[in-house]
Amino acid sequence: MTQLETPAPTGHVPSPEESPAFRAAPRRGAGPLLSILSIVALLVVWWVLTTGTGTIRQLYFPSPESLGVAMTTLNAQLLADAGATLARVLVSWVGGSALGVVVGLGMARSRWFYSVVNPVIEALRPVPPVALIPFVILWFGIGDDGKIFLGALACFMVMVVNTTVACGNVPPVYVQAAESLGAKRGQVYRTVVLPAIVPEILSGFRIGSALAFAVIVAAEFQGADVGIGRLIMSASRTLNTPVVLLGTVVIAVMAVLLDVAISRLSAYITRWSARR
Amino acid sequence: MTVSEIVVDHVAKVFATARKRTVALNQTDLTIAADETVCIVGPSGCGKTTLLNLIAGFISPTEGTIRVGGREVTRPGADRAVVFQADAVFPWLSVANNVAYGMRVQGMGATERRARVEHYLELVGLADFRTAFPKELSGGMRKRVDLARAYASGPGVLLLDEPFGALDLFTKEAMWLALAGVVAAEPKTIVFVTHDIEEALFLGDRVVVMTPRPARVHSIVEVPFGPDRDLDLKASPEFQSLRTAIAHTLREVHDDAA
Repeated sequence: MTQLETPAPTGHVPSPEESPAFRAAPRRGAGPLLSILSIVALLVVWWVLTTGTGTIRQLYFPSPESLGVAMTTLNAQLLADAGATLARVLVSWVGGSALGVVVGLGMARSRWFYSVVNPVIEALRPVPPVALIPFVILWFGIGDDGKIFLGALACFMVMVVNTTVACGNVPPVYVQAAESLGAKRGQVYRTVVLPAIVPEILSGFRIGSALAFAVIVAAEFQGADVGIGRLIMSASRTLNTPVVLLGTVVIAVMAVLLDVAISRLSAYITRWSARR
Repeated sequence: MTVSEIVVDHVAKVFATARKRTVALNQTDLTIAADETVCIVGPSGCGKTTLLNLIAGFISPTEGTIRVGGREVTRPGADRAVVFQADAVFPWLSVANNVAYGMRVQGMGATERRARVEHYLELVGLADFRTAFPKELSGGMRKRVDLARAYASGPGVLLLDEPFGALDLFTKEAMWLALAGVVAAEPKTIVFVTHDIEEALFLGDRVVVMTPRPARVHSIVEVPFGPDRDLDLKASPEFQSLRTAIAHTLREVHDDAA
């Protein structure tokens, strides 16, 4: 195959295996081992700088052991906080993205709908969702609703734009071919436009999931009954830095796992795409 | 069998923008008999693709009417399948589902559909690739899928817009034979737009020579070769003299316009 390798449009850093130009570097099979070594080295350096030599004081950056201690003492509390944050992220991400796709499809299909909705979206889009936190607390209080609203808003904005652009990128020749094979307008939409935009929709989902984490944790900082953001904030008030760091690590782990799950799933769904 | 004669009656196409009017096609008359293969040759800008798009129903004429099988063309339809130069095989469908596409949107039952998919895959020599995705195929193979898909949708008319323009010479010649084979097995009214004179002479029953500025039909050449043509035909003196004659005509009109 002499397909031109084009990198996936968004949110994807190609690994050396994917970019032939770099393939000369580590020998086959050495890649995973090197990656593990790199992580181990980082942990060792971390330990040496904190516990080992005491170069960095516990207050500024906690040692690996203190992180372990924080984890065991918090235990159920940590799970509850992590669970609350993850649930908010998932609900807002799925809900906001789905609504965004639907509105985006509507805008791509109907000029009328586009003219009505587009100015509103263009006016709201540049506003960072976190700037709305004070209002959201005022409207919804500090429970789940406000956080889900903010996360959903962020995902919605990403997906509306992503979907309309993706619809505009559908090669006209696909539509003409479908029409000349007997497809009616609705059928063209269902059997050509929808499948053709799937890869771009999925990459939008990935961006949205990362954004939902960021927005929701930020909202939890400003006031929450439960959640990783609340955990970090209340620990920082007492300068309990091991818990602050632990919270950060938990967010990172959840975000990475979700991202890996999405990218695995989308690699399978778009296995037909020449980009992969 | 439906009789799919194409009648182009006093058709002209003008593209008008706020700034200027571009005459894409001057008043044109052309009748293409049922099951006849007509190749349209001409330099770029001579309106040959415009004429094809008009017959396909993608655009509507400024003047005149086009009738296919007695019915006036107003929009694209399943009676006129189009094969484009660009890769129009749906990448998200397997080879078999691509070939089945037209039948599926037209509501044909699954059993009949499957049988026809097999038949046409067999005809273009892709039966072993039915479950493959298009990205796993070469450019020539994807064109075969496109051809099978167009045929399987059951049109009376097949419109081809420089379908093999992006292929190398050997693949192109293989595609000529593939197309000729499919047409011999199941004749259709075919309009084949190309700028390759040899392609037009090899495939056509008649060759329509078009000229740019004004975009119109210059002349129509009857191709004297029978239905069974092989690639050696290209080397025959008769083929070469026809080729030279058409090339001269095109060069003249091109120089006039330029």
